[in-house]
Amino acid sequence: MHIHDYEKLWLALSLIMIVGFIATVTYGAVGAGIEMIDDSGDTVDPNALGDHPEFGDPGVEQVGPNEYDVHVIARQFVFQPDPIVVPANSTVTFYVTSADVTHGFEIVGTNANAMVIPGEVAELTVEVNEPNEYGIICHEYCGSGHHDMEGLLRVVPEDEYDGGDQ
Amino acid sequence: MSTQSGTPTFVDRYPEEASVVRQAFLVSFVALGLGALFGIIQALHRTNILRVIDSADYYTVLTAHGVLLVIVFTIFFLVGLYQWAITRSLNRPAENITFTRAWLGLMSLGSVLTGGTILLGFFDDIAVSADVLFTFYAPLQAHPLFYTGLAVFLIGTWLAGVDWFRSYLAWRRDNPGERIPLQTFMVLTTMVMWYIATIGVAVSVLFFLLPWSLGLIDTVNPLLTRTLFWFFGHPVVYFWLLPAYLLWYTVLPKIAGGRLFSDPLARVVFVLFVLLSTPVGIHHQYLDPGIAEGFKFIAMTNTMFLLLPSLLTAFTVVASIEHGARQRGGTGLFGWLKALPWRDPAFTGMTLAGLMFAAGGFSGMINAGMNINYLVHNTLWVPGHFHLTVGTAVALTMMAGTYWLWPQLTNRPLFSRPIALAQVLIWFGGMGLMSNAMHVSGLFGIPRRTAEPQYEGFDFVTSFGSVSELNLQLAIGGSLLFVSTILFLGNLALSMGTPTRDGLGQTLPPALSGPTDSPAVLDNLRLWTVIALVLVVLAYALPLGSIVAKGGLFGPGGSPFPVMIEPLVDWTDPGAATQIVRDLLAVVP
Amino acid sequence: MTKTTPFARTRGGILVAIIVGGVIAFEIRTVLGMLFGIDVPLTPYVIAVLVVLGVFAFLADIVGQLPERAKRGE
Repeated sequence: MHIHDYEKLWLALSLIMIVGFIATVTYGAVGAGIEMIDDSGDTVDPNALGDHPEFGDPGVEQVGPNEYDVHVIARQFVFQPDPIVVPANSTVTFYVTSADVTHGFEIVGTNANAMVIPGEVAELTVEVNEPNEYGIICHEYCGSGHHDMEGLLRVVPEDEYDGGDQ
Repeated sequence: MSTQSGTPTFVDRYPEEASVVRQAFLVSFVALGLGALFGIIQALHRTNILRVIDSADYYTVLTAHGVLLVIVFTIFFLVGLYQWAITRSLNRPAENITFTRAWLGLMSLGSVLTGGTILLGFFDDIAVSADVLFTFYAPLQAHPLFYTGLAVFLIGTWLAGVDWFRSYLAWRRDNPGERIPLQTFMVLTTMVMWYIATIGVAVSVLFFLLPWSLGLIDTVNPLLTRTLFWFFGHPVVYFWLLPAYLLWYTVLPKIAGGRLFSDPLARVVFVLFVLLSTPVGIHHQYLDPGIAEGFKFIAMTNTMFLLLPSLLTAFTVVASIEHGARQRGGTGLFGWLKALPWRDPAFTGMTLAGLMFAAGGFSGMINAGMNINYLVHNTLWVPGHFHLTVGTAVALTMMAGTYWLWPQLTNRPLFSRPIALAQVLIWFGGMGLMSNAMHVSGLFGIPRRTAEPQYEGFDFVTSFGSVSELNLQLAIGGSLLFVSTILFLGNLALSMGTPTRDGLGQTLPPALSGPTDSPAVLDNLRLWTVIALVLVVLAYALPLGSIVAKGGLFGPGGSPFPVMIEPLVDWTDPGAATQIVRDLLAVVP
Repeated sequence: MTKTTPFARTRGGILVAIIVGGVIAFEIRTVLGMLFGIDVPLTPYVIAVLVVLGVFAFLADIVGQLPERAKRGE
């Protein structure tokens, strides 16, 4: 099969670029340590979240020095709890599930972004820095009130954080 | 555009097949017009410039826009184009024209059922709707006829493939040992890819969603049905793209004044799509819980390699166009560009579509970049990407291809070449504006699929310009696209009234490097099918198995929304059917 | 009508060049904004681009017609 010389060059450059792309993503995974949401969360019964030990009382809980777990329920058309309040300079792990249909969970202006699927728990760990306020939106169509579905993440100075729901 | 007087047109040689192609194109363009109307409504609504509907109805509009454009418009065009291509390249009529008309009829029936249920969502009095968007993720539930229509439509496309394989096998009996003609090769490989791809959505619809909507089963596993959808959801974009590639490879070189640079490379490209289109679907689910990171990583690497056939296409198409330009007298390193037939709307449309595709391909690579996807998933960036790819590379090529092909299907010249040229340029400019606004908006966090992306508790922060500027830009771009669509449909409608004449026939020259220059193994469709299936099993067996093992085949559930009808017993009650008809008659004047 | 110019051979070619150039110019503003944080105000920039493209089109058209005009003895 006759392949023109320019075509061979183009093919080689293309393959180098493709391998380069894979390398950058791999660096992001193992070098910068950005983990993808995976299947480590348990399955839950979306119709019985009230009975669940953690989702039965959604909210923020301290689990270590500067480490917090937040259990969030997405349902038509709110996030529970709202607002979510965490202290600055901490590591926060979100556990997000749905009580009804598929939702989205996006902390606007950050790379915290997840799909929220009933029956599954999306687990996402983020580093929280200075005090700030972030909007949380649902970006997956979930019904007629989808565009009203929003929440708030408030990062407060450490001395202002007094634990639990605020 | 040179014509060879005395060359019979396609309709002269194959009147019945030409009739089928015209019918397919007409359904396709009706869907395009309706889809475009919904598009402009959306563009003005979400940017808060003009709201003529309730925001709740926006999702009905969005479902219709998606389904009409990417299921009806694109796929009816594909079947028309492919019927033309295979008839022409095998130089034989359809084996049984009644069978051909039958599959086209099935596809039409399916479209009417599905489209009808979506449009009935505008009427609150009638308990029929399908406000589930093009992806119909459970637990969102549509009326059973929505799923039925999809199934009927799919079966129609499967039978189209059967028809074309029959034609090929009959030709093969008469031509043993010959290489498969290039256009036929493209048709057959596309259909192999389609058969593999539709396995996922067929299983999801027939075994889960349809029985669930009828009340035969109580719950479905939302992650399972979503994964089965994306099993199909990625290769379907190549089902849209490969007809455009067929036009770029086999028609565009001729229009440019030359010949296809390399037939073997074209075959390699199509084989790569057969192999790699499906085992990448999980890249649409990078942020899904319940799927391990390893499977996402495999999908990522497969996707990055899927860039290769498109890069090869870029080389071959540009090389073919350059060859054409030099045949027309062009000289110099870049000077040959001036020698191209830019006044020809078919040429300019396809070339600009290809140019825009390059941009779309790169924004797609960003979507594919697993961890980078956190920044763009479900934001308006994603529609920005696919309006460049399916919205321009595919749609604009289909419109440009129609300008070239329609006279050969009807013996009538195009009504106005200048308007056609204006149309493709307005599309390119409008899409440039709109897609740019969508990409930038997405990077600022503005979501897709949302009727009112204006929130109370916070504001979107931009690094340049402003959100209202982006909204205005999106609306202007969308308006230009709508105008362009009207110009296309109007020009075509008026072309149906131009007087018939002779001399509209076109031939397609053979490639510079022909099929005999390529290894025969490329034509071994069975081999590629087997390898493709192995790759699919490798990519999907474990993730699907894991989803079922953890969540169950029918899942823990999630309540269906909205519940459309009562269980099956009531649905078979003739009273229910007549009530629906009565409701319809009451609403429709 | 075909004519030889430094820029384009046909009016169709000029038109395509304008549209493609316009889109590229618009994208440059986006690149400046996203990658370099330079906020180029929209209205003046669009007007400037339109003026530049208009001048180009005018020159390409007129300059292209000069050989023909010379031939016709104008």
